[in-house]
Amino acid sequence: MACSNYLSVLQSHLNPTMIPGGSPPSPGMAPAPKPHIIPLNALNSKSEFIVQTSATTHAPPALIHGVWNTLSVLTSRSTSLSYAPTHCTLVASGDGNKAELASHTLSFLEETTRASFEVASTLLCGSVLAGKTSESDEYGDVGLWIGDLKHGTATDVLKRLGLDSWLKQGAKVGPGSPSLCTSSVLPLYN
Amino acid sequence: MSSPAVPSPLPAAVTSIQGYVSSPSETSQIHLEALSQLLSNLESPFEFRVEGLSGGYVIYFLCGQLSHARGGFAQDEGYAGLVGVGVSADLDE
Repeated sequence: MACSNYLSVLQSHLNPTMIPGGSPPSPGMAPAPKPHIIPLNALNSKSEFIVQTSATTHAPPALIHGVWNTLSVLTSRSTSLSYAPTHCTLVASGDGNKAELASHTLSFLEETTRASFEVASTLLCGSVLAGKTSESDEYGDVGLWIGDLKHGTATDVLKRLGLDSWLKQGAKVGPGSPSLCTSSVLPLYN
Repeated sequence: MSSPAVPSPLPAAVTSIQGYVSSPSETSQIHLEALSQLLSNLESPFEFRVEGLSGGYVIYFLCGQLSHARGGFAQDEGYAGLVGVGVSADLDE
């Protein structure tokens, strides 16, 4: 009994993409555990989030703080976002989206979160998307699953994420990070 | 003769900063290549930002379609990407 409990815990921490020969399980084998995805507004306090994320992902503390800060900005603004704690990844959970994602998709998004953090750290900023245009480097980039879209447009993305109310409230959509040519931080690199 | 520009999968902010780094370290090159490789799994990537939000927040998105052909995401074809947060200097005005 204790042994089977141990195996179940161990299995839930294994990354399926790291298991050699990742072919579909043979008949009779237990299916791979489904990745854990929870509503974004069900996240615990910051201290619990940091402890749990550190224990399950072994991500650097600065990455975990950056992810938490970004999530905290989005939490109060959307009820259509969920979070995969073991993969540091946001998942759109609105109507029509699948409730589950394959482990390798979540692993890809987790790698993207981690790679963004590494690049941002190298470039001395918090987010590779905001670059040095942001007044704060406390917010990290987070991998994002959006799902199906009718059109690949900003409006469709915001609708899917439950964030289109921003537009009704007068927010404006613009291109990605503005040119850094006028940024006062650039002399740092000259 | 200059070779044609190859579109970079890296976010605009990164490619802009790169242009100002005269001698990037080997470590930063490794990280950039890793991110670039990951983002090359996104087909037809596009970036946008949402600004004018309370608190001076600017939300940045980089999105693209996860392609079965490129990444083998057969079970989960759809759009994916990154979301980031910046804070506008207007907050202090």
